[in-house]
Amino acid sequence: MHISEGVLSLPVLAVGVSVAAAGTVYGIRKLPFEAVPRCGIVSAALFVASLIHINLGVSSVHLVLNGLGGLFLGWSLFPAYLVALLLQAVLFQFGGLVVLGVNTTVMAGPGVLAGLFARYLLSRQVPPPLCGFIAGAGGVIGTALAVAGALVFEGEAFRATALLLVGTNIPIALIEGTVTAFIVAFLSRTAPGFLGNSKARRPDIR
Amino acid sequence: MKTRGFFTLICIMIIFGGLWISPAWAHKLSVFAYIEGETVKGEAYFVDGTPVKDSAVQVQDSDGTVLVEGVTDGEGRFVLPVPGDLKTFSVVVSGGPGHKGEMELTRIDSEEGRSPGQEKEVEGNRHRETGKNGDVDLRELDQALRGIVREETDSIKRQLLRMNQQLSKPGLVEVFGGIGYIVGFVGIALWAGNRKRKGN
Repeated sequence: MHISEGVLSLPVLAVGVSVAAAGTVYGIRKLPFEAVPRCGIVSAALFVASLIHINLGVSSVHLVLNGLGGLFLGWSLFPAYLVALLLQAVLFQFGGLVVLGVNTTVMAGPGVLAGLFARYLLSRQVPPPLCGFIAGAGGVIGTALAVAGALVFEGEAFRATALLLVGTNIPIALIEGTVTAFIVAFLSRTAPGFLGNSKARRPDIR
Repeated sequence: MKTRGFFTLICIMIIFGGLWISPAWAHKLSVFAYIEGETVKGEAYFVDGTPVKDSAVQVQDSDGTVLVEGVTDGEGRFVLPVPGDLKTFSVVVSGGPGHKGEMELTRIDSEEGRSPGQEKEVEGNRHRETGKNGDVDLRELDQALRGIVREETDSIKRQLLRMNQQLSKPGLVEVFGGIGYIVGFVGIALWAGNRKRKGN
């Protein structure tokens, strides 16, 4: 899902950097001291997520985990993603430093929204696996749309690009949704505090 | 109890990740190309090894002006003509929305390195020798030799391509190095936070 360097023009890059910077500052402010290790673990999971790949017919897909990250961290997903993508860019030459802001925005933004929406559903007593599925699948689809949105300014037709990206990402969204559903179902029994449950004893990240 | 559940989950994820670690950067696009006479040949592939099929290839000069355009075949290969006087250029492959890879090439052909004077001298030698032997056309011999060398070095070029593919994949060192950095950042954040708390 990373956008390569040299594809986007300066205004899009600048918008990406601004949103990522704002999200990161806001996310760090929202992050309580006790939740710093959680943020680090999510960051590590995002960093390696692209290595866990599932063969699917002729191509292979990998997990994104942005919806799950949003569910765990809320707005603090931004700093977690920034670190993970920075390391991917430096160590794997994947994405790139110039597009770091845009990539952080297109992945963390939809992840936060999907995660917060799933938290809301959880608080309304919607079954946890369903909430997990919505977070996981929503994060992937949201990112596909955000990438299409960024590419619009480079002369790509939005409808065609969005359809292509969403279409190719539907299998990934289904897998991601299923995996997230299992994880959320598991955590809702063992550690509801991680899922934004206000009744849990552990202080939560808002 | 909660912590234990969470850590079990993380352990499962890390073990799962470790087992499945393989080149799966399905989206990073790499280009490997080389100059052969008046053409540039090469291959474009995603890091998991899948070829970049039916995608646009461009030869651009150092200012970014597009000189030649083409399309990769079903195996991600391409052959494009390049003007012989072009010294430095880059081959840019665009594979689908948001994916782009490029490689910069510099012509260091021995033929290009020759000065016109040398060329004349060689021509002179050729005529002399042709005159002596009569039946051996050195120009033809030259062409034939070039062909043979090209064929013989083809396997080396393939080997180089494979090596490039291997090199562009992230290794375990990078993966665990990255995780180490994250642990370090968390440590710094906790340390700084703790100091602040104690200060208050």
